[in-house]
Amino acid sequence: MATFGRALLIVAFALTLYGIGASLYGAIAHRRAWVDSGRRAVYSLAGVLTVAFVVLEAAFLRNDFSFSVVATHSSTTTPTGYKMAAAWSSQEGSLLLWVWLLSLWSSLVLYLTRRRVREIAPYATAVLLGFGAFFLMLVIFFASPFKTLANPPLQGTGLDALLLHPAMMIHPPMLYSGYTLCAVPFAFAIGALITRQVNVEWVQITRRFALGAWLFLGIGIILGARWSYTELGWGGYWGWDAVENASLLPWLTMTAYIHSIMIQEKRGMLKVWNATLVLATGTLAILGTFLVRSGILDSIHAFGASTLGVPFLILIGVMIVGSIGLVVGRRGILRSEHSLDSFFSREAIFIVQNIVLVGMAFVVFWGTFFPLISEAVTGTKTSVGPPWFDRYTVPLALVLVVLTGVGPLIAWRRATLANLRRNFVVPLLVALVALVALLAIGAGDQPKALLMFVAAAFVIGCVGQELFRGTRARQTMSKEAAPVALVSLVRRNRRRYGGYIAHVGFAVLLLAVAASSSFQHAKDISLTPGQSTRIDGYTVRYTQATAAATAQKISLGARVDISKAGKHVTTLRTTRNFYPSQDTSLGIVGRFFNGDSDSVVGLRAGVGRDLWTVINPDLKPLQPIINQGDATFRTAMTTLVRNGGSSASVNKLYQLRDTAIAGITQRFITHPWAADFRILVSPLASWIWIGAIIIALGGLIAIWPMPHGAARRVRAGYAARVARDLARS
Amino acid sequence: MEFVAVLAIVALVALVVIAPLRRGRVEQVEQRESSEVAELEAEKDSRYAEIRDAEMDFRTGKLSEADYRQLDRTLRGEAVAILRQLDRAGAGEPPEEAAQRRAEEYAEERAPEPQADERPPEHAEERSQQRSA
Amino acid sequence: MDPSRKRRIRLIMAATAAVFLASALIYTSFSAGSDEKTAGQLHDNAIVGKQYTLAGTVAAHSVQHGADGVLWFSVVDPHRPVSVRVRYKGIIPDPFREGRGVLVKVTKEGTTFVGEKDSLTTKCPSKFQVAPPRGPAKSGSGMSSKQT
Repeated sequence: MATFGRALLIVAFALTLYGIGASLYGAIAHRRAWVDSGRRAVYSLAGVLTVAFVVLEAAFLRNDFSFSVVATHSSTTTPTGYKMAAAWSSQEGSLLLWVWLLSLWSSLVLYLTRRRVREIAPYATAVLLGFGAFFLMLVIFFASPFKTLANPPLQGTGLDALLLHPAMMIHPPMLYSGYTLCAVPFAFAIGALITRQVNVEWVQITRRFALGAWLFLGIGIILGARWSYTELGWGGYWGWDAVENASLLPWLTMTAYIHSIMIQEKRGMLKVWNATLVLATGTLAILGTFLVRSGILDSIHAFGASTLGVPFLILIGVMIVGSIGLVVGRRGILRSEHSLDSFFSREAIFIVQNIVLVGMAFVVFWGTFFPLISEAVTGTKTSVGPPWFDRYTVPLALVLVVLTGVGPLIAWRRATLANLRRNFVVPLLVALVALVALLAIGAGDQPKALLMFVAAAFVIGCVGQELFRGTRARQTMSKEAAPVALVSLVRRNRRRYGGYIAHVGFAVLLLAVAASSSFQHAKDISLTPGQSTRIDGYTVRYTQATAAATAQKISLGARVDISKAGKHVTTLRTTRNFYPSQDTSLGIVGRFFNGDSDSVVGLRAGVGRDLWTVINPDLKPLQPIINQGDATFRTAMTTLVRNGGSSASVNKLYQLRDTAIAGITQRFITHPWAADFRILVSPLASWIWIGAIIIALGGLIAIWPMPHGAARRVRAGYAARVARDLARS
Repeated sequence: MEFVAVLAIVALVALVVIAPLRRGRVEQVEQRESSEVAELEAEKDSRYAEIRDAEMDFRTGKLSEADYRQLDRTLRGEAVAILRQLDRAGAGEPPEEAAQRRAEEYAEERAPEPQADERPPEHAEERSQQRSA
Repeated sequence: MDPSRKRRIRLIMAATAAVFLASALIYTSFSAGSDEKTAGQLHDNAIVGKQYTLAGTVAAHSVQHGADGVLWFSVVDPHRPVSVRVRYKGIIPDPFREGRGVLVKVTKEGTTFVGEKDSLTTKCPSKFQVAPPRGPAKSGSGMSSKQT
């Protein structure tokens, strides 16, 4: 099967090369047949890669350890769902996933545009296939998922314990969908610039894909954060880590882009800016993939440790130079058709928002790459930590939140002071009430958080007022009941109200981030069963130790009772899982205790606050017994082997070992000793995920196409009116 | 076995990819729709969307009535200009007529108010039906 | 004022603001950043009292849990067989293990290095090598990396 897979990759590679050639020839020689053929090469690529991916997944599901990636990333005991996910936990598999998703999304966009943008499409096809060729080259020559082992092992090493999390199954495909979707507007922008068709059409056509990229990237980022919060025992969701930043960068520039293209669509302005933004986003998406893949910023491995570094750098270099060259070369036709009417207009707000977002992206970029920059400048690698990022991103985020409220309230083209006053009274009142209320409950000692709360209240006031007024306007027109009017209002103006809903979600999310980081109570404490501690008014009692030993893992944990003012609130269960190591030098018994470990967080998510705890049991008291067991079993084993013991007696020995391990594990309950706990009380932390869901919902509404008939009906009225003008003028 | 499967896939892919070349249908009917028309159509759509947005802004109290009237007039004027361009680009007007019309339009734009228009109303009505269809 | 002049003034203002922001960024990143050092560099010429970010691999059989939640471990230089001993207290990331790459902020005190509380970070689990270091190189997945 591996040979089959390799052959498929080569067929796919040949297809990309053919497709590039056919599309370019078709475009230059104006031969439609060749362009069509090039587009079909993309469809075929999607087909071939689907088969290749299925072959790889099948190898994982069949436990075919003759595949090198299967042997090193899966095992017979890995649960089925995670076996499938294990395919992309490997470098090789994830590169294949990347190019497969790229081929699917490319096919979709090229299919939808097959009768439009005739001149741009072939160049876009060539660019998309160019990405495909690059990644196929990587999986063929550098990191083949179909590499086989001459002597396949009987058992694989298994998936890393920390990746055994439901988010792992969907987070990478989401993130990669986001990255690959970024390539779509990038490719069409290149096509538009080459063919000088830089006005509105390509923007309209790729708008949904840009939104899709934004949505998928966002979902991927949030799933990663969720994984961090619930799987890693530190209680945080964001750490300004290089790889997190890598996914945030294209998301930020894409957010800027999906706003600023509206100005291009409406006014023919900002063409250079939009082209630059989308080209930068595409480049940042590749850069993100590169950061995850290459380990360049690991700071632990010197650059060059990964063989993928150089090809990626070449690709990124080509993308940057090509983009700059194209934009500069086409600056003549990218000139604005209009200029800004007024600083009191939505266009102006969008421009400010864009500047803030790009500024933020620049801050993140600078901080992420600072180790490389500083090494280049001073010769020493210097890194900046979360406080440095916070110093810049917090104020920028604050401005951004305020803008998400202001934007929707200001009319396009112009706004008058009288209208501004009329529109801002209610939201400002809401913000004022929030301010007073917050000061009353004593939130004044955290000024940054306070500002964020007030800003979020302002946004919710703004959007609430918008929805209310819109509904009322709809009601006067259609005489519908309020809820019906609200739904049809949103349905008929999806882009507008989808956007507003996303704004509310954004405000909620940042509010929750501010609350949970500024007002969090944290405690690290060592407790024995029966002992209790107090945190933020809660009494936390370690009621009982728990322990379990299975073939896959040993779990030591605790039941923790949480009460407030004598009243029971909840019982949390937290465990730490120890996975057996394959390293036999750790001892016959010891390898079961000294392998990988991960935490199962005890979490009670609430509307008001999250109660979060994690246990970190100290294995030291067990170590003497473990050492004794190692020695005993080693002696027994050598004796047995020397005397030619039967396999039955060896098996008996293994059974004894398992009994011993279960017994040692039970000591955690029978002879409990102190275990370290980390306890967090995070106000409003749940609202981070709720906010994210609201953003995603808004994005989905904005992306969902209106049924064709409805869209036409809506447009027909305006068309008729304009046509009457045409007659009259 | 694997070899046969690969061969089959290669054959299938080749069939799919080569099909448009074999058919030799180089020119298709829709080809007539030039990219200029497509671009103008896109601009027209975005202008309609903007008219709609302005109306929405007015209804939700972001524009005063006077501002709205003026903005609406401007936008409709822009839409009309696009429709005119579309007519010209789509109808495949002979170049000399197009040039003539452009000159007329130029003069018209710079002529003192009120603007003159020789187009008979029936013509416009007919167009209105076309557009809304 | 004619539009082109207005435009130019606007552009100059925007550019000035951008330059200011950029210089602040550059200045603070150089002043607030902490130098990343390998165990060998710290071993040879660390100054007592100055904070560094130590990057390296946790040495095999070097992890010890002391009383009161104190963690002792040694970090090995990636290029030569030199290691430094670290005393650390605070959050221990789940992925922390012997043989894995870590970053920790340390200050030299006597012959050992004292880690700043909660400053220990490990590489993203997706970067772990499943096989021993000399095995076929493989790392990574799409998991976004996390601190701790």
